[in-house]
Amino acid sequence: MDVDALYQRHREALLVFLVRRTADTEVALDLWAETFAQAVASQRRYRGRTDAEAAGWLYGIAKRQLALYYRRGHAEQRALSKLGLERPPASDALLREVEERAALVDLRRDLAEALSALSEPVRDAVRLRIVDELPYADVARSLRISEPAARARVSRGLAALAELLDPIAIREATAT
Amino acid sequence: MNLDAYMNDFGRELARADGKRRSRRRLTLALLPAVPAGAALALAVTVLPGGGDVDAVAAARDALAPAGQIVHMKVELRSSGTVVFPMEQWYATNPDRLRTRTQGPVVEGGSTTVETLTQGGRVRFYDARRDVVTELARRRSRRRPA
Repeated sequence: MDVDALYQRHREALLVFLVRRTADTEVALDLWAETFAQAVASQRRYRGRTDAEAAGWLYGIAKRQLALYYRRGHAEQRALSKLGLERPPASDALLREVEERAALVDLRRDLAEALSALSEPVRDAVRLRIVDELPYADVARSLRISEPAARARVSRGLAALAELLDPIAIREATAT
Repeated sequence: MNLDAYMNDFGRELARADGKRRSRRRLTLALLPAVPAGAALALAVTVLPGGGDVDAVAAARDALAPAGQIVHMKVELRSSGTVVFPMEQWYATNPDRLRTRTQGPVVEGGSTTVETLTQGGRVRFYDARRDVVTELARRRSRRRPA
């Protein structure tokens, strides 16, 4: 398994995949970095031979990370810590570039229209974080809840809006 | 920094971490044959009657050994806060018997755990990775006539 070649082939597409399923560039970058760190840490368990199998294996890791995020409200950093790596901080300009590549503005507009399907506490959290793009600390302050609780509400809301984000991938992710 | 440069940076860090991981693994595999040999040597020096000085673990074991019972000890050697090769020992007297299990690192091909059984000047040595039992007997020393 050549993880470097896998990284070069899929780095951008995987990031877009994760941004479109979280509607949150910071969270997506965390999941993206952890996915590649997991690929490095667990490459000995890979049994495939073809490029397609390698891609399937990588996206399988990403979906597991997504599922954990939907359940817990935060991205894991286990493999990154194990390898002594940190996801580099991203500037505002870089986050905007990620949003553009993933066409996140359109997705945010669609999400804003679909918020009525959610319960009020979850809807408020999703609106503040995803539509108004407030940092989690401000979301928590506005809703008078802790930051982890704010993260959990947003991730639950996104999971509930799966039909918009990516029904098949999210159903697969949350089913594992 | 744009996204491509950001990804290039993280890719380099990832490749470096991968390289470090591979070198550590190569080192572990290179050292593996030394683990059973070292365990057998340490055992021969410290455990077999007349084999050498009694170490602190053996002294503690002797102090705890009531006749007719088995002393079970867990020994941990620490290096920079990390447990290196944790060992368990079972010891009984009359006749003296000692069994040890030393847990080595898990590598491709399975566990590198090593077990030894010492009784009556003989050592049975089990290498879990190779699934091989080796038996060693202590050579009797001949006394020169005065």
